[in-house]
Amino acid sequence: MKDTNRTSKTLLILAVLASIILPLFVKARFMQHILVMVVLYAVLGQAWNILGGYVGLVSIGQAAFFGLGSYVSSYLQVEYGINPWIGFALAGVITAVFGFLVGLPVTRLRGRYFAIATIALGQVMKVLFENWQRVGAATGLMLPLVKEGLGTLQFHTSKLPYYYIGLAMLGIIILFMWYMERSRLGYYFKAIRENEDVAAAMGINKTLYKLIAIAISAGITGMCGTFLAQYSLYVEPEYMFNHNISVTIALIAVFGGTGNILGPILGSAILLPISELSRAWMGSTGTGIDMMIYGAFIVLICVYQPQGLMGVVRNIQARARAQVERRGAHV
Amino acid sequence: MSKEAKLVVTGVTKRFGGLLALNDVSFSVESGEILALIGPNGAGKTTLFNCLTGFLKVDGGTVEFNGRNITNWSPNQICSLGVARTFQVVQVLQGMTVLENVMVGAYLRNPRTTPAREKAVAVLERVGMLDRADVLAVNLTLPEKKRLEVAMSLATEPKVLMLDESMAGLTPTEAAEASQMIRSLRDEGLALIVVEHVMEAIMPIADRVIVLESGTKIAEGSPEEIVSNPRVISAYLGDKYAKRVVN
Amino acid sequence: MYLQLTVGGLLLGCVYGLVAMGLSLIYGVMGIVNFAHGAFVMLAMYASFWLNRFLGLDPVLSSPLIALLMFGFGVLMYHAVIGKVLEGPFLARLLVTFGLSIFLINSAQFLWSPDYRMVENPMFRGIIMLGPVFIERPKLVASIGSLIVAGLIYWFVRKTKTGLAIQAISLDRMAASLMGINIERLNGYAFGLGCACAGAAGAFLAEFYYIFPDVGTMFGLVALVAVALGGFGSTEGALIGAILIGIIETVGGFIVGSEFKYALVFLAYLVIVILRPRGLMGWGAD
Ligand SMILES: Nc1ncnc2c1ncn2[C@@H]1O[C@H](COP(=O)(O)OP(=O)(O)OP(=O)(O)O)[C@@H](O)[C@H]1O
Ligand SMILES: [Mg+2]
Repeated sequence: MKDTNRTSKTLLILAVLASIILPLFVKARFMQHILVMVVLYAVLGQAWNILGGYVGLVSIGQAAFFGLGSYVSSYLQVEYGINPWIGFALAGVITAVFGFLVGLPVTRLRGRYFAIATIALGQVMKVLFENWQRVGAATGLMLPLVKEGLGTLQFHTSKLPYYYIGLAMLGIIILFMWYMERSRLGYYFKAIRENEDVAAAMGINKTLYKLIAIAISAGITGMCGTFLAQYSLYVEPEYMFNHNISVTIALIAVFGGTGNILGPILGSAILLPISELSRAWMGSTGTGIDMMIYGAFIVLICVYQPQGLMGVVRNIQARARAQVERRGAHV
Repeated sequence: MSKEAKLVVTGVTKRFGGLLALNDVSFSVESGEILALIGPNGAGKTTLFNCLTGFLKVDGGTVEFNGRNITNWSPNQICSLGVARTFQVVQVLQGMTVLENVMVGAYLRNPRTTPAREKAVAVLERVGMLDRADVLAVNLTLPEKKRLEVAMSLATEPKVLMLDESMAGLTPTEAAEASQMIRSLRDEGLALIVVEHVMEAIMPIADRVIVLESGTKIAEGSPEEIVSNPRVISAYLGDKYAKRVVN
Repeated sequence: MYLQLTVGGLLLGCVYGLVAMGLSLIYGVMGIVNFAHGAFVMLAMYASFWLNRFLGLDPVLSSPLIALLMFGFGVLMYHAVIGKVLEGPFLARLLVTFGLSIFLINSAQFLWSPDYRMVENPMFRGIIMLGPVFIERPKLVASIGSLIVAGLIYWFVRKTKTGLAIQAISLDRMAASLMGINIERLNGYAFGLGCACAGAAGAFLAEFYYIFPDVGTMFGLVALVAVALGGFGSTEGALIGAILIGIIETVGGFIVGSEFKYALVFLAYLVIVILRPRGLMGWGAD
């Protein structure tokens, strides 16, 4: 037991160091882009995981929060010249409140009714923004190009600063989840996922905790929206509220394995490069072959690896443990 | 745990469409007392539990806890107040370990993790399941799950505990252990309402018995009074006891 | 005007209804929410298009053939993919059809380009007057055709031996298998039937609708909403839900602007499902 603890600690430190140092050697802009996407989607997957993996409310409409967040900061910046960092924080607060309000009715739904409601939410938000003249309707908003730097949250010469900001976000959310897993909040979340009746019988106010979960998830997702807006320097409904964002987020978590911290990170680290690379190699002209591969990949995962990568890891661990025990029995 | 507590049920009525599942049921139970609730299948025992703990809304009548009207409060509020229950069809948090299951209950009075874990360990020790602490609940046997459910309820530090057929399916030794446990909970000052079909197990420890039939309370009294009540015998005990004796 | 719109909505609703019925059938029998249903409609539309291009067959006339083809395709899909996840975790069951949908839509884009196409010289064109109401002839044909197919499927499920066996599965899988029903094969049939619904609807739609890779997505989502409105697993509910949606879409779209019509449909879903968490007539469990 002590041994595995030590190895996992060493592994953790190595992984942290690698994620900080190795990217410094990545010079190709496209590779940097992939790194940025990996951390961004790891955070998004983590936010989904709080709601879907821990509380068991499967959302396929995270783009609603993502898009809203991207527009909050962008609009404030374009219209009032407000610093994107303030926009970033406000995006988090506003989408969290939005998630809470939406959650009031929606968290009463269960299972697929909830999932479809989130799809509906995503579609409604997209249509609203497509027709909202004030925020540029279908054309969206262009962010003003300003001097690059941490203060302006714009970087032009290299994409790496975005990567590190995303990594910091990931670090913070991982710390939060690590704490959550060991606190009442995490236990209550899981209890609600496992059995709502038992949760209620244990004195848990399940409505309240579901609302907390959706607010946290929405807030983080909204901040990620700001992040992508600053990265692309424009927002547009078709881009920010795209249904594929919602699907990809859910897939990352599922592919990696839900209900644990490592899953979404693994999922993002593997799925995003595949999707970005296949797009770059084969699909830049819109032939669709990249998404074809992606779709086939999803099907294969669901059929052959439905527990996610963490499921595989757990199986291997269990087998190893069983082997050790068997050996122990012989001695 | 030893604070005085009293649950008073007055005229509770519950309908499922045309079916009158509970008809004007009244009784009370207080600290240091074991109230057995018996009645044939479909009599409405589980429905009564559901009404008292907020899982079903009553159509009439009131439930009072220590003078406070808690009728139709939500289940979590009722539990927070100190009224806990187990389910007839055993319900545990399948994907979590035994310890985690009990911790979920313990968090109600211990918001921080360390005391919650200590509390959970203490409860597990008490019900004799500490050696199973790290097992996933899904991997437990049915009697173990039932015991876990009791442990979870106890971890919420209830003043009134309602057990719905917690002894069903136990071996005689296990049932005797369970009876012992129920008795010691009473001695600590809990009020217990126990639904049980296993008469041999419940009658010796009950202080008072109420009998439901088709949603109506047909008798109430000490175990001796109940087993000699002609109405009860004809409605419920008669043929059952007879059969038991034959077997 | 409103009568006109309502009739339009009714016609549209019938086509949605057929799509929704297939979705509902699949859900009822195997508990799969088929997010690829819209993609199946799209495939059927392309099939009609190519049959028309190369053999000169009109989509309406080729609809039985298309339905048959899609039935075979569905059976194949069931045994290749869907059947393998039925025992899997909730998320895998939910997302597998997403993957299938993405795959099919982009395969279409890869094979046939994202261009918009239309069937040339469709057999049914123009408008007929029914009292004060204009009715577009292809839409009328499509809705009548949809109702006929829906009726056929309904008859099949309620009256034939295979259909009754399928129903038995949807009621109680365990008992059905104990009675010696081959669940795998019948699930395959049920999935095939669901696809056949999408196929026939696609053929009817191809008569007057643009055809492009993403065309089915909205049909699929709208049908899903219809099914949810009707209560998952209730076939009649799905049909009624679909007609309701057709009317909301056309009448509501006219009132608030047609760019908002789908937003309106989804809002209707949110409102109704929140008021009645199990759909308008649903009493099914989660
Ligand atoms: N949710 C419900 N909807 C409709 N009828 C119900 C519901 N729950 C219980 N009933 C009916 O109410 C009556 C009382 O049921 P209940 O489960 O309370 O009986 P019980 O005394 O617990 O029986 P058992 O000893 O078998 O557990 C039965 O006729 C049952 O069919
Ligand atoms: Mg009962």
